[in-house]
Amino acid sequence: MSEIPEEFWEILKERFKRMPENLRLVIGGYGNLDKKTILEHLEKRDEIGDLLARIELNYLRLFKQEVESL
Amino acid sequence: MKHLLITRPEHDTATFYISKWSEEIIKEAETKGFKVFDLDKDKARRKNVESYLKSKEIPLLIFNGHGDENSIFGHNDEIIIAKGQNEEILKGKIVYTIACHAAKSLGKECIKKGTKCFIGYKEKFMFYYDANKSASPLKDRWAKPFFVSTNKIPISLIKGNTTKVSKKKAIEEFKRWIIRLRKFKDLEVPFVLKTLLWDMTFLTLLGDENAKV
Repeated sequence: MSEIPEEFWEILKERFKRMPENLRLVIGGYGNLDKKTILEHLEKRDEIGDLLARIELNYLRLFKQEVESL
Repeated sequence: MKHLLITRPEHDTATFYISKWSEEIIKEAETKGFKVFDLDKDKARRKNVESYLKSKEIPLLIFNGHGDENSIFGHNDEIIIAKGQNEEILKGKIVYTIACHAAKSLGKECIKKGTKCFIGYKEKFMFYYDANKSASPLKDRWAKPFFVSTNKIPISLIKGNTTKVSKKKAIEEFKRWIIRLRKFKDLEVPFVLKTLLWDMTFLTLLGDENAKV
């Protein structure tokens, strides 16, 4: 995921800092992730960090498509 | 009487949630007159699945639990279906699985080996839950959109719809939840919404789009 700009990772971290404490993300094979764990993975930019970045990119891609279809 | 087999391992939070939310699938099947072979908890094992498939004519199979590109797991992550090992037991069947990545490689191989239709996720199936509700998954408002949406597939198949229509109904349900959630201001919403979009994007149908149970 080297093509992802530095700013994107920073934005992603800022977004997950707003994640409520009660929320857990289940990713098969990786268990249940709370906010603290997610932020650690984003900091490390490891496999889970990449996955979280891809979720955000998928959202942005679909949002762009929606806007362009208006 | 039509038959349905479902595996419902329960060895961690993810499988516990999936298992509990699968109860509505079982209820729907029983209402529609199906005989349900419910392999829950430690009954969700390879030898039990293989035994049922050898001795009964079961057109619809629902595999819950974890997985990877080449396998579907059961209780305590025992491999139930593995690419290159036993996928031929799914010949002629309609298969639906929530197991991560299953539609990527295993699903394709199953279709090559004669599975009628394989519906699953090409990427990891993910969901959010509320840690304060983890003892009662059915009361968890943040997990609900994920399971109500994906459950549309087996429920629609049980109602006699084609695989193509069943996948379409699930996509429509994902979209309904995404639109509904946009109206709420809760801090949970953006996280849930983006992950619903992810699951919806990677829901995949392989094989016969006109297959019915």
